[in-house]
Amino acid sequence: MESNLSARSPQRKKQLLAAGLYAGIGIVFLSSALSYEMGPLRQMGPGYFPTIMAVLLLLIAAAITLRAFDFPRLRDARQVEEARAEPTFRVRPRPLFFVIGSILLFGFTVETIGLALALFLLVVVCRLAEREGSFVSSIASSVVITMIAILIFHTVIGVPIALWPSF
Amino acid sequence: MAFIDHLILGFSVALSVENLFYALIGCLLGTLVGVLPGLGPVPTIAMLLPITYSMSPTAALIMLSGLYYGAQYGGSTTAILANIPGEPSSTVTLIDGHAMARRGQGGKALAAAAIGSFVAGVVGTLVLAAVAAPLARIALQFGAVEYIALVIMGFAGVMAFSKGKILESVGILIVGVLFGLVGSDVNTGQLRFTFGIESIYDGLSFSVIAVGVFGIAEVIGNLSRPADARRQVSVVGSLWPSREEWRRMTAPILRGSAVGAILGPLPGVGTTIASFISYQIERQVSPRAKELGTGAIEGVAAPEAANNAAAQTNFIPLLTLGIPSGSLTALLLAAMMIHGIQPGPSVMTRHPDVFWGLVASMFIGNLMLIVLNLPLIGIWIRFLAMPYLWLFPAIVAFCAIGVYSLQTTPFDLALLAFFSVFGVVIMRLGISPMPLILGFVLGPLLEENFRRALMLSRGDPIIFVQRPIALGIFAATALLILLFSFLGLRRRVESDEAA
Repeated sequence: MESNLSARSPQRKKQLLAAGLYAGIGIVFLSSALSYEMGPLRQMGPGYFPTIMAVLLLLIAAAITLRAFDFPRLRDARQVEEARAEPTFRVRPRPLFFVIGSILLFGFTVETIGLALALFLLVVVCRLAEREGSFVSSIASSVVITMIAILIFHTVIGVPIALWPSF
Repeated sequence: MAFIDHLILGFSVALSVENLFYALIGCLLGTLVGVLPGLGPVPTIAMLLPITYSMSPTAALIMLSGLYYGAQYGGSTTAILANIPGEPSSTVTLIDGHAMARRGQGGKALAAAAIGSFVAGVVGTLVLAAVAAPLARIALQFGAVEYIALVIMGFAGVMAFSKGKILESVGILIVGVLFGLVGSDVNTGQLRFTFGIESIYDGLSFSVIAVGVFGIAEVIGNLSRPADARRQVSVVGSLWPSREEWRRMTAPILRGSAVGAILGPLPGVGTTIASFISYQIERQVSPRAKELGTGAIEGVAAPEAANNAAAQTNFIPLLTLGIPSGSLTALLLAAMMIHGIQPGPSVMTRHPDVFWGLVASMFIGNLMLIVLNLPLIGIWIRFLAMPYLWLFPAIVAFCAIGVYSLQTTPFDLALLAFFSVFGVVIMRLGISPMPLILGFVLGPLLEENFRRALMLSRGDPIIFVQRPIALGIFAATALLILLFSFLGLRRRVESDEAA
């Protein structure tokens, strides 16, 4: 087994991706925060605290990058240990696409076609995330889940959402 | 024996048929909204407030507060079985709770949560009945610097979830703090980081983030694994804790109750801080500290006890001083005013039937909740152990409608999709979402008090070392960090020797 901290190790890739993510978020928040009023320390404006936090985040991103390039002093032995223990896991595009898609679809449709149909649609699309299962069982489960959800949210709790299309 | 007289008065009020009925309704509804992802007690109470016009003031308060602490029971169920924190205060429960459920010990975890909540609920109510006024005065002593110290102690808990990735965890904590600042600034009303999106002018909602990064991301992660490697609830052996497990959870429950009862009255996020800090305390003092995080019953019992004790003592500032300690008690304050009760110190003297009736109803409510929840355990487990092909669309559907029902804004579903993808990304990078939630919940409190402290001292940072209580908390936090680094160092030396 090759060392986990070798040049193209998955561990280093993860660290660099994390650093990139933090740097991106830090820059987005910093650029907005700088446009708000700073104010003096005794009366901080809305920009003061977020600026400190965003700068801290950028520093963390920098530190993670440094460590990823194997600065021996910054390397943490526990990191190596964990890297060995951590199973590699890949996100499959199919579930990602259909699960996220079903949520967005629900958001797009719920106000026009009503809760009942939108929920039914959500479950049908969501089921596609998994290849298994027949068409009939998919429809059956969609009907059952939709009915239970409506019973709980609409009938018992009484959330004010229209059940059916309003035309 | 004024205390006994008061309790007798309280029980005579709370045991009337009408009040018992409303306590039951409150507890049932509370359990339900607690279990459901997204929807929590605050929007439910807001929806129910108009219905209480026609009720007596005592019945209204009994029902609404039953809904509140009932939701604390229900929230832990979702955390343990579905890995979704129903409430901010049940976030920490899911670490060990869900790990137990995957190992087939979900029943034991649920029982530990219910029993811990029950004991703590009784302790919290006793504290509320006996020392409400002095505790309220202590809570008022808590100034800006003390809050900062508490928040930083909570943040130090990041170490507990970092699994060796300290830098990454601190980073995600700060990301959480930044997410928490989205919305209008409390002091100036300036909109921050809203990017023109109207539905987040009041800030991002906890539910959207928690349901996304835990619930939906977990579903996607699970579907990405081969069918036999999925992390799902299973049933193995007894649903009920063994004698040994009873013994193991006794001390954590008592410690958790004490932490919760003390921190509960703090305005802000008493229940959440209490659960995180009690988990940290267990990591230091529990004889099984090493097992925490991998599914130890102590890691469920302690924070659940803490949040429920805090949920009871949370009422102290409201009932004794008329100050709401959060959005929830603010709604209860509104309920009192609707019924012509002026909240404040006079409630105890001018409406003793309301005050003591409410306190007594909390004993009864907690009893109802445990009677209600223990038999439900078997049903929940079997329900969540059904084939994943059936389960996952149901989870996604309930998450989506739960989030939508908060504000009935379709855009919230786009936010849910965004945070789900974000959750998948950090899961792929091996970063725990726990610090994100911690930062998100406590971040605004940190900013508010940071600004307040420096305003009071006219910009002089010396104020941070002038307050004895705060110094004590800072010292305890430093000690925690030192202990942790020392243990880490020792492990490093050991692993170097082994290598």
